[in-house]
Amino acid sequence: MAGAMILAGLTTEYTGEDIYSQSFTMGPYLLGLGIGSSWADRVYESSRLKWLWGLEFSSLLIIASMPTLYLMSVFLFSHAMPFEVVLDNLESLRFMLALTSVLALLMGILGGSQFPLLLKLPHKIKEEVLVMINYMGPLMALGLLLFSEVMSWPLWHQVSLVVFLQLLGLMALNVVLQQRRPFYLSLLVIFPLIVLNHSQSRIEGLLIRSSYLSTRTQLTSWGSWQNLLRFLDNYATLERVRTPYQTIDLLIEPPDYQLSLPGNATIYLNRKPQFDLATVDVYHQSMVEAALNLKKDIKSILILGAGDGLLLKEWSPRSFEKLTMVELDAKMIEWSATHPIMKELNQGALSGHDPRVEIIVDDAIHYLKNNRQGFDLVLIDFPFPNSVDLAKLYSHEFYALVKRALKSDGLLILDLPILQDATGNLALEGQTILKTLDSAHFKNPLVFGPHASFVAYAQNQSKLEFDYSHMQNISLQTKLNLVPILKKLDFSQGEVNSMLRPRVL
Amino acid sequence: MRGGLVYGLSLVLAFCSFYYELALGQILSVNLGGTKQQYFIIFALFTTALGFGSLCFGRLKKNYPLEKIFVGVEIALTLLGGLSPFVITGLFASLSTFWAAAISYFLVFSIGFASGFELICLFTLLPQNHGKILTFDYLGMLAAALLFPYYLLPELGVGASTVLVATLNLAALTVIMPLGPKMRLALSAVVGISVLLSYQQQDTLQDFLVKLYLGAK
Repeated sequence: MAGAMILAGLTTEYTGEDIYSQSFTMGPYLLGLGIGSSWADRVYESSRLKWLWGLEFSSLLIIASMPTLYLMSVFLFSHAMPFEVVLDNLESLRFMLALTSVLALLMGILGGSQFPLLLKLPHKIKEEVLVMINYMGPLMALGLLLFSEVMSWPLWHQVSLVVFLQLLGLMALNVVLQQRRPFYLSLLVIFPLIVLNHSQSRIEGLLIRSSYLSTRTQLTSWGSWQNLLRFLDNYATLERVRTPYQTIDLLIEPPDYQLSLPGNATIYLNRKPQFDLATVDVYHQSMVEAALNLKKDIKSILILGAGDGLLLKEWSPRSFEKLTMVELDAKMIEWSATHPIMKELNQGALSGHDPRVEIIVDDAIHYLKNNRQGFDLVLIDFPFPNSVDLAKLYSHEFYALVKRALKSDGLLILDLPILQDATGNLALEGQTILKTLDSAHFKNPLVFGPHASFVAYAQNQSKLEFDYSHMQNISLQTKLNLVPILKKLDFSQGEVNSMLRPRVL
Repeated sequence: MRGGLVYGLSLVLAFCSFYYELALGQILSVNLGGTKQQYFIIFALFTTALGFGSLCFGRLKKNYPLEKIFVGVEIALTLLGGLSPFVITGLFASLSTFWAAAISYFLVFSIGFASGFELICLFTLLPQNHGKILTFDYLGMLAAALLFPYYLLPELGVGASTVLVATLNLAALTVIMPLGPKMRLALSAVVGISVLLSYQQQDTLQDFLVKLYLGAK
């Protein structure tokens, strides 16, 4: 089960599709369990123990080599095909889901046949006791994931832990079998597996960098492969931080003097780009300047999300009484407070020196449900809603809680991530977000920002307009972003997204 | 009981149990936040309870006939599973977070505990075909794992789909219980009406749950 969970996590990370990844892993895995347990009934009594050993050994091999094989296959596939972008296309998605299904099915068959075989072995243990012990296995896997740092470990460490536990099971079987040969055989495979797993971090780095840099090379010869690997190894550096909630990637590109290109640093959350050096200021300044322009006398501010500290940095030199920032991911805050580049970008805003600022590590839903103090301004800066988990933060119930947290003359500004479809109309996902806000009684939206888009609402439902006579001390780039867009707002095709009846965004 | 019937029961009951697990994960993550964490806690609690349930079966079997245990378990599951999303949301609306969470987790454990009896009851009904019973058990879980995210949750919502699944649980009783034709007809009518109501009143159930949720602290 731990193997299937690792596979589901791996697929989610590389496809960015939460529901598909879980379904295409857990579905075939359960199907495999069914096939495996059905087959186990047909195994002759005399060979059950040997089969059990063989199945356990095969599981060990598959789980240990699975991440490396998976990443290597995706890397080879995506470079052997003439795609525009390495990972984010339909063909790559189909390939990854198909690969996941096959691996999950295989793991399921191997896992499913072991328990019925175990039940039928000659022993004095009562059936119900064995069933109970069997249930304790998944409990251990879940407990390990929940109450430890395992989820933020590098992938190959997670796999090594599972392999180690499986090896213990194999050793126990060796004791039952009382044979030396299988014991030595299982010991022999450990070392190549460790090497294989260790190489996984290099393959992972190559795959991620090739995806972010959109390398597209005609890989026709060994020389072209070598050139690609040399380029990926030497061009950009990638720093990867796993937290229990997300994977943060920082891609640093050096300046190119021949092409007169400046260097850049880009932040990705779960492989979705958040900002780079060219866009970081215009995004965060737009949000803050829009708030100051639309509402005078802001005393209390609530920021939901924004663990990178960049919104905090924009507020630091301003006048206000109290700012509360609620961020779920403590590791994100810690990383943003200590990483040299992030510290430079947020100018140490997360250091905790400003007595007006309170940083709370909590789930935004939980915080809003349990705190009823009114705020003059609420700013929402969440990642793209590409998972069921994140879609909750774009739901009717969530917006109703936000409305409750605003004072009667309060202001709400949030990021509007998906704006226009190919025909220039408001994309369906955007329509769903606006319709959901409308259902929570947020009326008269002001959608603005041709470069970085946002939507603003007044709690008293009045129509919001920018006052351009008060925009003197704002950078030109930001000023150009404080422009209303989509004046004719039609969100009739959208659906209300609810936590209790979620719509895919 | 015939083999086919036992396999069918294994499929349906596994579907219901796995659905309850998923629905409770969703409800608790909505009330407490932290989806991943809540799903892990639910799976862990549920699995432990399944283990204890199957362990207790041995003792219960000595004192009660198998049929009685099975019927009792299914009645308990229909009530606990069918009402739990509403009860849990109501608890968070009226009690402190600590007590609401504690009682909710106890409910989760109880549903898991009752579900733990099911597989071992089915094993007892057909002692030679453990593998096949497990196959249908896994297939039931597969059906729930696919139907929950793609149909039940987005189309019906947690409220209506839970009523629907609890009705399915109730329908299993008609197979297990030795009923006369009149009682069988009456129980089938209750099942039919429940299915119709959950489809037709899905918006009412959804609104009721949302109001209950927003009334919460």
